[in-house]
Amino acid sequence: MKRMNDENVLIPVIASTLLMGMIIVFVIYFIILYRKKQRNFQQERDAFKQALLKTEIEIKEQTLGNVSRELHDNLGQIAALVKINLSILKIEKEPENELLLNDSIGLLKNLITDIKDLSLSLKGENLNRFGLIKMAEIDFKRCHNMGKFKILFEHEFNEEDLAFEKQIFVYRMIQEIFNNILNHARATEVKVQIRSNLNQTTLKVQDNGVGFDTAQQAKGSGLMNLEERCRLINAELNLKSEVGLGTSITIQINSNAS
Amino acid sequence: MHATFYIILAITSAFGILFIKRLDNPFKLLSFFIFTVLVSEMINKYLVTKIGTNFPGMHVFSYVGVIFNGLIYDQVLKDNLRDRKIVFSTTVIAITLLILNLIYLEGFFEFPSHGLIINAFQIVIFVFLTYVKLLNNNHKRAIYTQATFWLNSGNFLFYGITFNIFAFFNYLYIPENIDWTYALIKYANFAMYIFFFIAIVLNSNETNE
Repeated sequence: MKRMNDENVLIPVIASTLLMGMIIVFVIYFIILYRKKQRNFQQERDAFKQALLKTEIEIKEQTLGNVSRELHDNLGQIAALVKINLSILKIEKEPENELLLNDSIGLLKNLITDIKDLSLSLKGENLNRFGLIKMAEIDFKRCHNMGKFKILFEHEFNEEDLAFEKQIFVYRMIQEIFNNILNHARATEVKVQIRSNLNQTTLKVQDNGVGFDTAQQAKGSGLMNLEERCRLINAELNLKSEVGLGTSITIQINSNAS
Repeated sequence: MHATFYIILAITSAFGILFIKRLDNPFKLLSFFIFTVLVSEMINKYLVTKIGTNFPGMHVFSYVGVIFNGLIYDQVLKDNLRDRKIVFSTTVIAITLLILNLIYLEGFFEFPSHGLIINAFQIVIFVFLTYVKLLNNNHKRAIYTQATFWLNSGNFLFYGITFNIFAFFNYLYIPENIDWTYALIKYANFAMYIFFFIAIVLNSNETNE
């Protein structure tokens, strides 16, 4: 390269640096712009997903409400009428039939109670009337009556610590967990804890069932429903399970989070 | 230095041709284009030894470059009819200008500086269209994992510099500064082919996923 004087060197150095600089600045600006758009896109996608999930859950709640009304107003009423009809039947000459009749009336009574309880638990709005703890207790009683497992329920829960909409979520999650225990766990004892303070509500459900390998087993729809519901209310789900050692699910809900 | 340049060209084109089935259309064309660059460099070297100048080769290759770039960006921007029309018309205009330049301004045995400006002008238009497309497309993946970004940035780096040098910075081409200008273009050219290599590698993985 030939030797050049300072002035001749300076101008091309400045010019080429400026040129390179401009091009690099443009590319960096493009990357920043792209990342901004990427963030917006991600936020929009998350918001859309949340809205979709919320709508899905609202539809589910509405459907459950309809089923609950149908159970209470229609099936429950029919069962009550059948019970009344059976009660006024006079079977004097055949004592064996009378025994059968009384049995049927007893069974029908149970059926009516079950229908009422089921109708109660399906309708989320009932939480407003009875509160989360009472509703959970009704469900636990029904599970206990099925004779499958013993339930130990501890609670230090203040209704005011958690918004009503979130209480519906917690209630549905309890039902989902119990559904899983009934179907898969083969547990003999289940411990449920609900605790709350101004900042946080914690739900913990532990069973002594067969458990499963969390690394091996694919997530079922029950667990995915739980995760979706947790995501919607910004709750943290923690699941621990080992084969033969039961399963423990802890859900922590931030009371102030929207 | 020349050897390094040949090695970069050879590795990039060899990789592209070796994994040609895994590449999308723009990157298949890009691999062939890099291979033609390698061949043209060799022909130019031969011409220098035979007739003392490589300018005829550079003239011919400016047509090849304009056509290949048109084809590559036609595939990159294939989703948008308006962009494709711009690519087509820009390429037709570029070829027409190259012919006019050859007939009226810079003959076969003159350095085709106007040809390079035309080439750079064409690419810079395509580059901006592609950046806009990247911004408007879905933004699922990070930008630096996208092959099109590297292809585009490689072109932008080299042709942005070339375009400015030949079009606006005539001062840089005076004899005292020729070494600086040459070095700038040379390193930008190196960078462009390295960017192309990254683009081809990324695309071969994208298609394979």
